[in-house]
Amino acid sequence: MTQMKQQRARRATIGREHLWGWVFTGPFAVVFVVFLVVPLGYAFYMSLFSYTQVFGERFTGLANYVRILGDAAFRDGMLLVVMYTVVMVPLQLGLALALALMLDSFKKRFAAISRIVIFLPYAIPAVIGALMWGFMYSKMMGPFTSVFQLFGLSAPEFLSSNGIFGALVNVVTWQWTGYYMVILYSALQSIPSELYESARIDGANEFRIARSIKVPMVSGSLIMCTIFSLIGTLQFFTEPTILRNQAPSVIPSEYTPNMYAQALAFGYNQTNYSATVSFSLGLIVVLFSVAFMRLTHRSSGLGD
Amino acid sequence: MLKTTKFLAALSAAALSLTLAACGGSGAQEAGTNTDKHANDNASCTNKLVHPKAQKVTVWAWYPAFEKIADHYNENHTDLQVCWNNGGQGGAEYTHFQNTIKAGKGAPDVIQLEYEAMPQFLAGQKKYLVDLGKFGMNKHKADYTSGAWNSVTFGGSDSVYAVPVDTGPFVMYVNEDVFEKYGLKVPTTWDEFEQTGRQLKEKGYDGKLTNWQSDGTAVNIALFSQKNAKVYKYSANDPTKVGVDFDQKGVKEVLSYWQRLAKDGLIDTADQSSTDTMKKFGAGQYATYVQASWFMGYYVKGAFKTPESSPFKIYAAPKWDDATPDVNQGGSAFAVTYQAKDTEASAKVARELYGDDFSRNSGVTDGGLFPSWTQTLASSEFIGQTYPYLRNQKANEVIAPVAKGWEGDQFLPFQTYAYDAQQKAFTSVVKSGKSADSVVADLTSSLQNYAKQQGFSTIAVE
Amino acid sequence: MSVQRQRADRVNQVKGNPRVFTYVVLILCCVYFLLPVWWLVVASTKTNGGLFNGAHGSMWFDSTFALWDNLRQLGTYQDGIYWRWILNSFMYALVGGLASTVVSVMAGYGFAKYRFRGKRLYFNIVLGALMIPATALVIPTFLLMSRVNMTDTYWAVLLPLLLNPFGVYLMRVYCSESLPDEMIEAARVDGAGEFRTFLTVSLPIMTPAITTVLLLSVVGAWNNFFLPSVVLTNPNLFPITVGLSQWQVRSSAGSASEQIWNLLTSGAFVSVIPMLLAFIFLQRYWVGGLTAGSVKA
Repeated sequence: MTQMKQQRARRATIGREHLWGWVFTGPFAVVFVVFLVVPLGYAFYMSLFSYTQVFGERFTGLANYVRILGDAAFRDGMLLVVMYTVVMVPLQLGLALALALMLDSFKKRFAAISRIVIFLPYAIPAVIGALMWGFMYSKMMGPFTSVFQLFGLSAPEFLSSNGIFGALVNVVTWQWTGYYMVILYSALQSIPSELYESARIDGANEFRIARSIKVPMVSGSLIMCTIFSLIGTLQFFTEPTILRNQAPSVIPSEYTPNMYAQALAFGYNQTNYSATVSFSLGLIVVLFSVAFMRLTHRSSGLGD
Repeated sequence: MLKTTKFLAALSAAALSLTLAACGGSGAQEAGTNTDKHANDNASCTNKLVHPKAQKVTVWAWYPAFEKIADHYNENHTDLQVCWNNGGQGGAEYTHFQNTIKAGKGAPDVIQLEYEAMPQFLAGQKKYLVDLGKFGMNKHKADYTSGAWNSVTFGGSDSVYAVPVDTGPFVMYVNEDVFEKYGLKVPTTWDEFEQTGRQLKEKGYDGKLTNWQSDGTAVNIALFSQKNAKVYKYSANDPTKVGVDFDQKGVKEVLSYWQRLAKDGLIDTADQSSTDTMKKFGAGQYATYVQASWFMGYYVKGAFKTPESSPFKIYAAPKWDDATPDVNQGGSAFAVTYQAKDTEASAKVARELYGDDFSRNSGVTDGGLFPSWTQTLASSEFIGQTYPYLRNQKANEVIAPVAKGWEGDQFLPFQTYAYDAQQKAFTSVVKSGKSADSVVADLTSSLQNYAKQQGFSTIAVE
Repeated sequence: MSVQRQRADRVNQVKGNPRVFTYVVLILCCVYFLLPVWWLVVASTKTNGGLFNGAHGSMWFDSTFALWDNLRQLGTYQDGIYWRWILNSFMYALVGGLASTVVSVMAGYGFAKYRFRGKRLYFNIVLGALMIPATALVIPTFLLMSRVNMTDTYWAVLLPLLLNPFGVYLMRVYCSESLPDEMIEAARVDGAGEFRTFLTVSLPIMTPAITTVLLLSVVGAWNNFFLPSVVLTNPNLFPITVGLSQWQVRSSAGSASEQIWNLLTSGAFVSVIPMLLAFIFLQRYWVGGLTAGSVKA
């Protein structure tokens, strides 16, 4: 084959690659544009208008963004989910990592059983998880009143303004710890064991191995889980919505930004402002995630 | 990143031009009259039609046992058939209706709405409910209690926007076991009510006098009404004006009253919808409960294993003085929507659905509705009816006069928002002990601001 | 499992002998994670009155065992709409999950194995999309759908499920690592078309990752709540999550409502069984496939 022929063949291959690359990724591109780009663009477009019963829909430019800056309901909701994030993310991830390490080095049959059990809540829809905990939190119907009585204590009031934060943290921890645990456990399982064999021969104990070999090796997964957990918590919706049916005076309709967006769109008939809330929430979450990635200064596997 | 932004900007511009084209103009207008008799020919119905070839009128309702009412209507009419669907309950149905308004289609011809939910469909630029006065509804004024009638006319002299069905006369449930055990007399005034609470506490009753629900919405409006304090004002004749005022002597007195009872540990302040409240109700933890008359039919099923094991009986709600009016909490009506395909036929169906003895009896016995129909309220059969879960009491003897005495309430075009704000404010009164004075002032100004933001001008409530 | 790994395990067992501490922690964990499930099992056997006033407290069976009666009521209440919700959920989970997997697998493969114009930017946008909260899109999506009259259809729930950037990412990582270019090249040299290569050579190797993406999408679709609760108002189209939450609202106080707590608990119990069984039997696939996405550092 002459050089020219080779080159032409190469160019043809590249042309074909272009084509096939788009053939394979094309369906996703369509879905991506239709269900992500367009709704986002539409949310932004809608947020430039305002609807009132008296005037109907009017173009108001950035007025909705001016409004949201001074909106105590949105600000409080945002602060609240940030607080949930600060408490819940380390709690879930810490617990998940501890359990994953424990299961990784504990090779009994019981370990396999507990792994399934810990993972099980992930199979239960969040709606049903919140529903079950809602019943269990009930002072008169849940088991906690009698459990605490055994120790001569009175059970905490989960569904009160002081207790609700912890109550919701517990529901989410229960639901998601197992999922993160399984991701971390998978990562641990794939570490080549020769890495810590020598450490063991050198007399390092399990705790040391975990700290200086295993945890650094799974830090990529850990960061990925953290980002998922972060994004999930900032868009907190299902659990408080379900518990609200049990305790409406404790969980107001604008408890989290997502709940606020829903109340605006459906309860208060303010779809334009609701779109503003959705768009702003999306923006803030993206900023948070990017800041977190910068902060960790590592490629988490999410950066290409 | 810059490229990304440009890409996104281009795409949103594309979405923008698409939707601009989809936007139509709209002007202020009254709901019109349509005459299409065949538009519903292919409508799907939850009920089975008796005369499938006849003209159909679509109805959304969530009344219990409504299928019987629809069947009865269809059996007795060959020209019109009711095509019933459950469009959701309460708030869910209103959202559904709002969405059909945005879409411009999909609404039923006839829709069940609570009195408090109607203003939102009658305010601002366009009325989405048809004025039934055009179809001779005024002739039937005497068929309904004045409270129910006033609740569907919205201040208009000739306009009627719905056909009343049920109401919620405000009464007191008394746990007779508790009152017997502690040898107490049933209170008739709020002063006596408070004294009863103190006596129960002194005598070591382990429950509470009653439960004051800060998540209660209409119940608190009823309590204020007892003081003649009307907090909301809205008239369909003036659809861009609303009145909101909680900053009234009566409201403050009522709130301070409950605040004091809560502080002294006489009452519970649990949410109405919590399962605990229901459990306590059944376990004899409440000596009384001040609520609408439909409340018993709802609670008894959950709170007691058998109706006979319920120790409750109904008494008149406590009064402040001789001038305290009879009040109401809840109730609903059938309205005709602006999308009704054949407006006149729809108006006829709306009025006739609960128009005869059979359907009214079924509504009362199978549906547990408290009737707005003067004829039923006057019938000896209704008054003499005994209720097993009220110790076979002839409860309507107590309830019917309240229903007749009620004069109607007014609500806002943004009642859902107002209720949510109200709930937060009242929770802070009983749970964080905020002073009633500052709470009502804040609530009033925040709701008035909201009204202005929504384009309404605010007027005095009186 | 590699030979080294086995040897390491043996070492592991010698050094890390079963400690009481580990057992205690794991037992406590199991109790904690199973507690609500046990509550649900017990509650599903009670009558409505039994839930409130039954004997033996909330964590033990009442004197009347009403599970069968509750199941019978589930079949008749509102014309047995409960089973329709279950079927809907199955349909949404399987069809939506499967379709979204197909889209993600193809895209991941395309990203990993082809060089094409715009790929870098495209993939970076996809990565960025991982950060965008799905729920922030729900209300705008609903608004768009109502413009084109798509609300209250099966499509309104199914189509948005196709969007699964995480699945794409996972597949891309897996393909880059576990699918040698030489294999694809060899197939091409043999004259196989791109699609045939994809189907016969690449797919079999990608199976573990595909299984994981499929499981993730199916579970995600099964648990879906916010979007269907917004785009659906017709009860006949509800998935079980939305249906049960409506029953909860229905049971909570209000005029013309109805107490069906017993149906709520027994309905919830029955609805979690299929997924719990699937989890127990498909356990190992989770561990296998997730490794792909997580080790890449």
